[in-house]
Amino acid sequence: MEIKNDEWLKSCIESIIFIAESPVKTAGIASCLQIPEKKAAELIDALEKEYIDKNRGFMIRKTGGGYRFYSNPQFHEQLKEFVKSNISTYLSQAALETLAIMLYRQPVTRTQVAEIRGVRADSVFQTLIDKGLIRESGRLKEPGNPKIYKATERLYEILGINSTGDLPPLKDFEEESS
Amino acid sequence: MVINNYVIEINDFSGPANLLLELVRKRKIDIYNIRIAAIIQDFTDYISRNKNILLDTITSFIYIAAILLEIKSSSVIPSQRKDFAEDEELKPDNEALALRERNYRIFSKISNYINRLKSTEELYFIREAPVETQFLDAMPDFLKNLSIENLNYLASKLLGKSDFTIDLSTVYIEDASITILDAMEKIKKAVVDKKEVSFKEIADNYDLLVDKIVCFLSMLELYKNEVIDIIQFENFGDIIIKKMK
Repeated sequence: MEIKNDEWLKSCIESIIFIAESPVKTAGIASCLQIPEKKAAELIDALEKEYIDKNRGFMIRKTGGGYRFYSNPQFHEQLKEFVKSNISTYLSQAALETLAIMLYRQPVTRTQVAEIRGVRADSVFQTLIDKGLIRESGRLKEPGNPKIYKATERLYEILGINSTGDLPPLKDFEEESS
Repeated sequence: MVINNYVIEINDFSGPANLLLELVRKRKIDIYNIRIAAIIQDFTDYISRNKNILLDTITSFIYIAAILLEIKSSSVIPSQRKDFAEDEELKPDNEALALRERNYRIFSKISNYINRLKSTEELYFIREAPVETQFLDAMPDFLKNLSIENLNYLASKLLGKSDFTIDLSTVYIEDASITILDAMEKIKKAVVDKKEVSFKEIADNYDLLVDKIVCFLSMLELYKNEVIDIIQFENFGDIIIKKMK
């Protein structure tokens, strides 16, 4: 039987996040190791700090509601050479505007987005769905029953946030605008 | 919104389209003196000269030109604009237009902001590839402790009906005669021998439905591991399995 001291638990968490293909939630780690969620979160924090203190090539970050290993952005230039492939997702201005509206007004219908942008952009919606950045989340209970859309965790992930709660309040942009 | 490289040149204005819109909005330039038709003509000339123009550039221009037209037409015939927006019926037309324009500018700013977030995020790399085979054993067993009884319990919980239970004594699930690993080997051998094989051919070797399902899962697993390629021409049509090049 293993001894469940903190160092041992940290190694376990390290290995779980290492093999995960998508962000791992604290609850998942806690139930796997049979420890309270709070304890799991503390240990992840400790790991995060350890990597930063030692300036490792990788780090743990919380995005899309879970934890993942990321490369250290300091080595971005060198890694770019190594990875070569174009991993960045190109998003057109129309797509970015649609996402902006989505993040602050979700769930939204296509028409609601078109009203703000002044143009209909059904193809933008399709592209964003294909890229897994938005998804259908039901239908509005009004004439025509239009589909409503929401941001996906993948979108939060590529923006490095966990939820819309991490975004600055809308009024920050209003003040700048006026 | 930026219109790349395209510069509008009219009477006493020279600059990007969004700047013109801004100046019109702030009443620094009188919309009355702007010949929108001339601007549009100039832009269509510009795009016919530049074949590699970005779609963004065109859509941005159309958007701005449309707003300019809207502002101009409302300044000439204000009474035409009563039904501008359902929820803004009571507001004077210019106010409704200004509100929409203001809203748009806010979200345009936000879109720049999320683009910055995205660019920062691109400095980080994550593993996108699936787990290498040597680490597969380290994966937690998600089906551990799974039984028909607790599946039944979870289903009733999910459906929100406490009284929903299946009488398990009448349920019989037949055992599969093959394992996924066996079926994977068979499919692999078939694609090596015949270069291409259909799913129907594979599944026809088995009578039990559960065995056919095992074949299907094995095919998906091989596809996921990039061992085979699969093609299906129509929904519910047969699936052609080929060796991955």
